[in-house]
Amino acid sequence: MKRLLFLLLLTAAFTANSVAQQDSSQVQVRGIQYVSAEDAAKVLLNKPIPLFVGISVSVDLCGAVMASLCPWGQYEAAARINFRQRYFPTVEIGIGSSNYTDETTKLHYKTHSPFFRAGCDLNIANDKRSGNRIYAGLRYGFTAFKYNLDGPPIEDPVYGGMFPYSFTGVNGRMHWFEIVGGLEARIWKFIHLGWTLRYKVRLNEKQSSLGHAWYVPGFGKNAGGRVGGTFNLIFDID
Amino acid sequence: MRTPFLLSLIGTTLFCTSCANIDCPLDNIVVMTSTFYASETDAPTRLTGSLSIAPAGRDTLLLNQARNIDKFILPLRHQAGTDTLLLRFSNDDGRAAEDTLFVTHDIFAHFENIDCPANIFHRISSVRHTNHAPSLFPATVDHVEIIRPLVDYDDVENLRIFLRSTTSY
Repeated sequence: MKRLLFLLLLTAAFTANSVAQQDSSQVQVRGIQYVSAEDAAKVLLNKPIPLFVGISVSVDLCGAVMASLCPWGQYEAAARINFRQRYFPTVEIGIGSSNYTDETTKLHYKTHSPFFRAGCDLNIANDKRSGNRIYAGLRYGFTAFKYNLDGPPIEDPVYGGMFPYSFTGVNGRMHWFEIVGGLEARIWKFIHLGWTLRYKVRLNEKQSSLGHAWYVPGFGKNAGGRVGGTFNLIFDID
Repeated sequence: MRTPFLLSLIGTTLFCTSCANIDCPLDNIVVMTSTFYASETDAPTRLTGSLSIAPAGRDTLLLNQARNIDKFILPLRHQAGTDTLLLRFSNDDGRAAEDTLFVTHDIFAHFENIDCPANIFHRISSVRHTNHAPSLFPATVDHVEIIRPLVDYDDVENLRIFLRSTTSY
């Protein structure tokens, strides 16, 4: 009888201990405490960056300012995907606009047409996790546009008479290539500011009988310098 | 961090709104260039007498007694059609004769840049001519060849006028 009672007590004690251990294993761990900040940073740095980090959208502030203040400009937005904080495939679309009359020649040029660019940027900054980036990238650009060109009639100084100079809906098309470099910094949570400089190379242009278009949406002034830029306000969408 | 980006914004705006270049061609006169060749040798030749050119039906001289020339440049009419040019040859002996050139051309407007004046280019489609008896003047137009149909800002040979002569002229 005594032996039976002892066995019962032993079994009860063992069971109680097991229950206690199960209860303790179901307690949620709220965090891991490191001995020092350096240890915590080291662990974070060793943590792999996921393949798909997120999506960002941006608008070009510089182009919008130019469209308001300059003879030409563009309203442009972009979307990009973040792969491993290193590769950023990007699509840019916009509308290039010009409505300008030269005060000397009185020639008036007007266009309002869309353009499209696609490419990829590479983040070459060493610290990929900070949200600040240094970019090098490439773009392919395309636009099919129409423009109006008119001016005072041309006088024939020898034979007399006037030649009217007014053309509406003149078609143009251009493909081009861009080499892009830029910077970007996180200014607050999901908001970034950045700028790019772009060197543009014309690949193919369909001209009318008039000649080169003066301003090509997305490309810029056709006869001017090949360097352009953007100033972007970027929003991360994770 | 704010200051560099404010500077970047200002710099970018200034860059984008900076002074524009004016890319107009220095030579913006549209003229047809015609050169003289000897029909006997097919070699360039020089007119030692004088040449005057006037458009038919107008009291205007396009070229006034040019001497010792191997080529001349003339404007074309700013209308599609045929320009009739009267070529009057003369020399110090008092001999003179007239040949006629009929230059048929199309026109098209040209736009270089919004800073540059608009202009008219021409495309020569055909050229006919008349010739005179050598007894009147020893040199006459034998035939004309179109070398470059496009008449634009480039001072490039458009026509070759081959002269047939009995003696030195």
